[in-house]
Amino acid sequence: MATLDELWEGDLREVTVGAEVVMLAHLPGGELRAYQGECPHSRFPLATGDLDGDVLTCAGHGWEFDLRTGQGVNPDNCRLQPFPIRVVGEQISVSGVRP
Amino acid sequence: MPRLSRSDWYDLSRDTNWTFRYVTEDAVFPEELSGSHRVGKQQWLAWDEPYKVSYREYVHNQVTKDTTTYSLKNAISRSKVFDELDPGWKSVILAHYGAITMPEYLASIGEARMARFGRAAAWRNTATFGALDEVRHGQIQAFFPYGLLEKEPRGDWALKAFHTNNWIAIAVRQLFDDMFVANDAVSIALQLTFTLETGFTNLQFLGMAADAIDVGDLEFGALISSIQTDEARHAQQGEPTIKVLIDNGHKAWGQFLIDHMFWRSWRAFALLTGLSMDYYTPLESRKMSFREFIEDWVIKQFAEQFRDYGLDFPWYWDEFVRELTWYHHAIHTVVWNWRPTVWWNPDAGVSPAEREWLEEKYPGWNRTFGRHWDVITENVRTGNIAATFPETLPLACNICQLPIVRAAGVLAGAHTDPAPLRHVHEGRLYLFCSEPCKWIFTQRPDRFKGHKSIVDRFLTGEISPPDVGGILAYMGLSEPEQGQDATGYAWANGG
Repeated sequence: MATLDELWEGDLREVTVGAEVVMLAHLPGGELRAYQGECPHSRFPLATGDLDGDVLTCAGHGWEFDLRTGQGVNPDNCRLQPFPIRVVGEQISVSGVRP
Repeated sequence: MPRLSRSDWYDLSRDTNWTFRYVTEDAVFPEELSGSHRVGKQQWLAWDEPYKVSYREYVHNQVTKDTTTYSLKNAISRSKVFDELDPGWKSVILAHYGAITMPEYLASIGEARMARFGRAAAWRNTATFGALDEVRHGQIQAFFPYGLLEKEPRGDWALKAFHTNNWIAIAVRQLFDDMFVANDAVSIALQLTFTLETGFTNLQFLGMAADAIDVGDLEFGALISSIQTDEARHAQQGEPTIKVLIDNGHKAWGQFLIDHMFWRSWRAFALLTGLSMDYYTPLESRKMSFREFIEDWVIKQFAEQFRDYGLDFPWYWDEFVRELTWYHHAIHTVVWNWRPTVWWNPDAGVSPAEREWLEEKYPGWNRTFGRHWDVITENVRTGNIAATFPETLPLACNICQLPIVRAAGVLAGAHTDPAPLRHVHEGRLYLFCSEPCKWIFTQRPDRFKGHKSIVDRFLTGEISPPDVGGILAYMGLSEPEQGQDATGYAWANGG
């Protein structure tokens, strides 16, 4: 999918896994997360958003998500679909199967 | 100063309700303007907007959007971008400016009504931002076409259209008077913000912005995206309002308001967006047909949303789905025939390649609509342009105000009788294009009975002289403003 060298801490990146568009996030502190690539609000690509700490603000309409958990912050009645992620050496891989 | 997170202070600062001591609740929130009395005062306090924004954040966001959009416009207006746009696309934006700019400004009245007569402080707060949004949309969509005047004088229809009796202005004005100018706060939330904005325009703006970028109209693309971001926020007022109605046992009323306005929104959408997507947008930039667009965005996404609330599909759902295959094709033919009566240049959009696309997207198009265009094409090729103009006004529907095109519905197998639907109310005969338009009238005739369609005005002598010249003058169209075929009939000669 990507290597750690391509996704620095604080970076977001959109990748395609099978039929799924997935957003990879490298959170401050080093943890990695993978979620649905499009905002649940109006399908805007989440990887173009702005990451401040753990909170991602969608570039479309300012919806906010806590990327540590996927939980919506504003509005708080939604949640991002997570995808399993694995790191082997420098290589990041994502499973396109929804858990 | 300590930094509090929004959730620590938001509700407190938002919920500025108070107890009235000198006036009654009814005097502060008269039912005609509020429409909220079905539900008790306490129950309205459950109203909660999903997406929160403070005034400070709002102003910051809006300034950023305006700065970006106006800068882009200033840079592009010095270029040749507009000159090089496809003629069909120029019609898309001219039609849009004329039909949409003033309604956006008028929508600020609707938002302001919710900001004053909505029963929850949270709602009034959200609507206040909505009112500011709509003032901005009126202004920005008047300013952008103003910049086009040197190249396209009919950019002034952004301001002018609503001050004329042009038939499209009559239709759009009657619709928006019903939807928000002369409507109560609860009905506006359900009919403007939920049905029209969430269901139709928010999606249309997303699609239009993408199309604009694809045809190279960066200015219009930036404008539309910028508007859409506001709309996505204030459109959310419908959702909590429906929830309060349903939770308090008034689902039927919510359903009625949505059924009423979904049909009306569909009619306006078929006219404005149907023609743009399937005929005016250059073939190479069409990502999906109008029908596919409605199926994907309106039927799948929006309908799922109202099903989530336990609402039903409107009772005319099958008729709506059937109309996707034919209605806007019929309206397109009428608009093109009556092209001098619109302020843009209708693009016939029926070159051989475009006809192939239409047949692929709408199997049977050649058999139903194509054969009319065969006759028109033959007339153009033989130089008989006069034969491509109509001689009489088509009948107009007394609700949607659009031409009654049931004959095309018969050809498409959707209707069995081409005659308009009739209804007599207090001695006056009203004509309708469809069962849902007739239903809308007969449910609340007092709301609509005084209005005259363009044909009623013609027949009662308001248009004089009663001929094509008189009609064009009544509609505010001088000769250079009248629409012409967008490509000078290039499509008829294989181009």
